[in-house]
Amino acid sequence: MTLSSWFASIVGSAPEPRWVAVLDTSVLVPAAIAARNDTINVKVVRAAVAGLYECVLSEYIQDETRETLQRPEFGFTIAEIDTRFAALWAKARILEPVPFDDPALLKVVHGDRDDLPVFATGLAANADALLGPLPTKFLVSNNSTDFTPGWKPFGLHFVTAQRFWHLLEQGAGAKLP
Amino acid sequence: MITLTSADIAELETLAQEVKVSRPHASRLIRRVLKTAVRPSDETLVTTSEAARVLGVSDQTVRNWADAGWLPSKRLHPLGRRLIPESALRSVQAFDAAKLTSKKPVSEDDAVELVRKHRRERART
Repeated sequence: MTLSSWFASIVGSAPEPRWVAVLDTSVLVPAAIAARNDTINVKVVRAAVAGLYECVLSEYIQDETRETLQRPEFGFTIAEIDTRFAALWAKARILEPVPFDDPALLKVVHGDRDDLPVFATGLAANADALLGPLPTKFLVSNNSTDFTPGWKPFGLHFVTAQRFWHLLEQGAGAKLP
Repeated sequence: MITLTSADIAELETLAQEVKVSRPHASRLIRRVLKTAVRPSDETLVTTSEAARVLGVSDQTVRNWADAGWLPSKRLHPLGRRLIPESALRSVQAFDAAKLTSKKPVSEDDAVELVRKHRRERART
């Protein structure tokens, strides 16, 4: 520990800007059904619940999470799903996705129109009065087929849950992709 | 380290004010003691190790987050160790407690594939 870091630890220093992260359904659903609390997806959601970063969702992502977990493969009820996510729903900022009619946006999601509402939620975070000025924003998805990890369209870092957790553990000093 | 009650603090503050002119050195001394004394609080605080256990990370990660201001923390004494308000961890414990009991075990990888499948089916309808 250097003298300056020791001094900073005593007197405190200015807080670092929080990160902003849109969590895709492909992170929420595995987190919901995980058998243990120490899997990456669960850790990412728990960090959101603890308020370590600004978690952004949209009604589209919430509905898709509910619908997926109600499928016969899972068989959960809406009440069970909402109870599981009550802490996250309360903590997250629920934004309206920006309009995504522009065909140019399709390139970002490899032409898959189904992914546009999630990407448009990330763009809504850019446009939000409170979240917009925060410099570091992520779209966290395990759907690496359509969201290419490492890409940064419109200032949104596309990362997998694994990568996001790795960066989060390093804290504000993490080297961003 | 001295722990004072609210009544002790109020009495010492009054005393420091009363002797400010007649005994300025004593007044300053009382104020110095008050600055370093542990003040009572209703808030439950936990150590960084305890917070690390709840959050499933290392102590160093908790310290990183606290240094960045991402996790609230405080010290009861300028040279004391960093403590985390228990309230910051309560919502995580609530999330853990609401665990879903799977009727049909599905792996997390299969769950990601089912999200993709659901998204494709939703787009078709």
